[in-house]
Amino acid sequence: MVGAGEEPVPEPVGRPPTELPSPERPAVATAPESRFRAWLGSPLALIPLILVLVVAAVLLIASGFRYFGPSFWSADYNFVPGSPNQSIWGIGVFVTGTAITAGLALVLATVLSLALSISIVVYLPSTPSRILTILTNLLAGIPSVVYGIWGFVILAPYFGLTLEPSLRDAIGWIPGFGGPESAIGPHGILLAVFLLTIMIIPLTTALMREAMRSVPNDLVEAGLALGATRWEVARRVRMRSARLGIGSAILLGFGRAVGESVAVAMVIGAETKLPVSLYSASTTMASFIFYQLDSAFFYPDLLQFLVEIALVLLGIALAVNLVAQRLTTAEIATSTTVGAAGAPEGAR
Amino acid sequence: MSTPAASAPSTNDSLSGSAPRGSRRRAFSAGMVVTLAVVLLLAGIGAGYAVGKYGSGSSSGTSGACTTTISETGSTLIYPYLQILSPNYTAQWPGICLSPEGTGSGTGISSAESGVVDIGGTDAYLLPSTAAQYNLINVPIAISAQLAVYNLPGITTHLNLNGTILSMIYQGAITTWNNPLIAAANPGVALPSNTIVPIHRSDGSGDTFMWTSLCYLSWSGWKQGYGTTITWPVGPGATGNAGMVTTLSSTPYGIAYIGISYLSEIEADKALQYAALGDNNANYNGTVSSTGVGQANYIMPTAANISADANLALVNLAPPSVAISLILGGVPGATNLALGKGGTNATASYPTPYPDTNLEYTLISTHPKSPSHQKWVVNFLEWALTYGGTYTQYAHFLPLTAEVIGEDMLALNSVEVSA
Amino acid sequence: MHSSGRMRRRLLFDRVIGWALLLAFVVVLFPLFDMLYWIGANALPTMSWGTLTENQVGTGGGLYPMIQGTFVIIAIATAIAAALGVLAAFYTTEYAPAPIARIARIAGNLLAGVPAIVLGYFGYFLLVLYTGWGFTALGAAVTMAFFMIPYIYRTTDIALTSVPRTQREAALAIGSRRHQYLARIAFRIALPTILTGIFFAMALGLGEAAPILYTAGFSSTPITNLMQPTGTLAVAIWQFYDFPATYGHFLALAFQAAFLSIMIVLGLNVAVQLLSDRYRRRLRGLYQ
Repeated sequence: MVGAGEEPVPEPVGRPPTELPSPERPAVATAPESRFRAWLGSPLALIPLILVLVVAAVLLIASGFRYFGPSFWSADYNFVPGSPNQSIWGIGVFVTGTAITAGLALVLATVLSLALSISIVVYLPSTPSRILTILTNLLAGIPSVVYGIWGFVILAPYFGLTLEPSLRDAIGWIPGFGGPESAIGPHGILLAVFLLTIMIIPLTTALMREAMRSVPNDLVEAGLALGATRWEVARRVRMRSARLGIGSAILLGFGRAVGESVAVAMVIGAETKLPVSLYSASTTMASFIFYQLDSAFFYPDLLQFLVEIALVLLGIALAVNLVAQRLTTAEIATSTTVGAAGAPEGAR
Repeated sequence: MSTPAASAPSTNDSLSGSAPRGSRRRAFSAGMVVTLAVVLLLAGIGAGYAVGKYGSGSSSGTSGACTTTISETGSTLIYPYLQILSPNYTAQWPGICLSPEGTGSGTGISSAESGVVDIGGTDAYLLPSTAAQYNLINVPIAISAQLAVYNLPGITTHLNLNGTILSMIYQGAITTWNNPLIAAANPGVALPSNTIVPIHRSDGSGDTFMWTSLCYLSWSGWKQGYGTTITWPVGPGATGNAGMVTTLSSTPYGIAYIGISYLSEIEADKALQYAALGDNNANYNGTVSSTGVGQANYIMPTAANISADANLALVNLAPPSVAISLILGGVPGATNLALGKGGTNATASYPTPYPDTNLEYTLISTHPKSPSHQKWVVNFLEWALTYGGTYTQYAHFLPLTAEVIGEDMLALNSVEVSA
Repeated sequence: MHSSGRMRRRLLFDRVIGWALLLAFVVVLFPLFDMLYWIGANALPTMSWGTLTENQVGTGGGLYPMIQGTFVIIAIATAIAAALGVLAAFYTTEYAPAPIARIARIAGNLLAGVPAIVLGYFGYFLLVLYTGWGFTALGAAVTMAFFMIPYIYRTTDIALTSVPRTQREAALAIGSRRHQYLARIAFRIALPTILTGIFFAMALGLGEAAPILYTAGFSSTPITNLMQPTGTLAVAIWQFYDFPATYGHFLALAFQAAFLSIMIVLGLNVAVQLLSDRYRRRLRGLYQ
């Protein structure tokens, strides 16, 4: 009974199993006893959900739900202590800051992590690859405060005085790299993106590395045996087979990118207007909460606003995950057929 | 149970290959992870207890373990001072430890209100009405002041700046250093025409509270109110006082507000210099000229001047109060914060008050859950008020004046304690 | 001829890209070494045994209480997070119906996206104020477990789903129960990746000050029980760095705390690497 009719059944011999297991491995057995046990086990599987709900519930209770009116989604933010009438509670600036910094950092980190993990898994001999693994992992062990301090003590003057002016001269025609000279300063989006990128890399690299490593050896060997180069096997077999793991790595990296508060807070410059270029100072949702949390204990309005930001951040993360899941499902649906024909493609 | 999948065991990673060596001895299981977790948990707890019990004996500097721990959280500005007081207090009162923490004034107030710490530290006083609601009292333990620091290449003297100028700079109404208003306050100084970069604290801070109070009181054009955090019209932000120093140091033509605790660091940095601040007579509203204002109206942040400001509320107010903003507070004709009934009878014989001065407060409960524990909290504060003056210099605070200490001691008498 | 020319091109490309990929290491390792050098240069000159064994006193002293606090909080947090995270992942991959598994995975990713400072506020509200515990090591450990769980959970999950399908089908085909398959097959294959996940959770947790600052408070003396304010290395960096540079040894202590924190992670890192290398070798032996 097991597994029958769920996925195209791998052919017995001569061809490697084409696909990795789907991310949701459906409950296979259909016996009533098993199904009962499946539902029994569900609460354990739902631990993460329960934790998220607990956090969200506590946040809501802590603040008292409040809707800040239509201006909530605008890019106008103006907090004047003691003057509720003058204050405008717009979240747009912070969403923009998060989208730009986390988005760019995630793209850069993905590319670099793929390069690092292919290098480690495919190209490098075992000793160097082991050492480099330890070194990239070590980046994860540097406290985020230290990233922040290093960023504003060592990098900020270099970014503000040297790198950004010359970038603006050299590639100012690329959108984001031009803009007014006044936007250039020691603190800004570019520096935050750089810090975030190296902060995410160890996590995404490790997960991608493990995923590529778990690709069954016979798949890889089949590819090599058919005359494919290492790169072709890496790209067409390892990356293909490990794409779910890679996707998960990116999603987890996304979580870390939008959630990082301290290091970003120290280098992004706390600007509450929309950025005009990548050199501009800005504020992300997480770093704004970091800046304001202590003061918010004085100002109930501000505390509620911060909690709303945290909830919106959760909402954004939820949306991104849903889209990613939709994409993955669609991809699997097509690749089960393409994959069957396409598996030897790397070994052309 | 026969499935096609089962017919593919010829690949070398099948179960059959492992069966001979898959003995129970080697079987890993989820159970093992749980066991590991439990072991770690017990080890953590055990280590915590054991190491705490025996470890503290081996450490030098303290005499034995703490029998009573006084907890404090709050202002990062007070934290260094308390950190220095802590071992000296324990040396005098063996077994009684102070465990201070720098989180922020907001956390200090919120924790004191809910009674989860013995002492809440804050840069801004708690409104007396709110304090009464939570049975808390404001007990100042040191005097702090704020410096207007600038990075002006070529200028090494102390400029004259006043609240109006600073307010206009931070509002974006003054944008260059050679603005006529700045020039008028600094006759004979060759000011550059560069753009001013006003740097502010990005994190919430008592320093921001003081600075925005100064801006708010000095110029009617200031639109952003005053508080531990506001929305800044212009300029970049930096995190923490240390961050302000670092950022200003690498920002030519910048200006920043920095706590006086960082005075020696500022003096050590050749690029930085701090200003003499104008008293209320030196402020002018928008277009009013500064005619008639002399150098005497610009006050250096010296110890005598700062102490003088700390006393003004006590000297000039009836009834005296320590829960008051001292910004421009004691100067004749001052505009006042909601609470501050700034003095109007400061006399000429009195030292000149430095306008950007603040008391550093601790909040303690007058009706504690445990009066026997509170005895030690009061004991610590009395010790700090009596002997703390010797240590303020290390934190670059100023010792409290006798007047403020007297007021504090009176307040401490109202705390419910038991032997 | 045509085909061999093409082959040569492909081989050349293969070699070039192998070198090109190494450039990524430069981007990553330059910051690492620069930070390590910067921290080392500021921390080591004034470091001594006293740094490890003494209490923090006045403007000097050592970091012993923070080392103790770090170990206690991280050990308890790791225990909670590893138990819950690994169990949840096992049930998600093997037992849970598809919709529930889908929801659980998304929830795991969401939890990883909750800013540490928000977890700090969450812990402060729930475990400091609401429970009335005040600042405690236990509250910090629970909060830190929230921070760690998503990493352990998602890594374990990825590891288990990457176990080749043939393994599972073969195991079930010969009549293994699912828990037997999980314990004897899947867990063994996934173990190195699970260890990596636990390592990452610990490393990131060690470096995070925000959740602990608001839940454990801080202390310059060693704790004697779990219900006391507790200092950790990450919070020590955060607090001591903001001191004026001219102010006793605080700045040096901040760097020393950073240095120690990194050394702990390095130790963990090497241990995990050796463990999983050894394990992988044995596993390979097992299957060949």
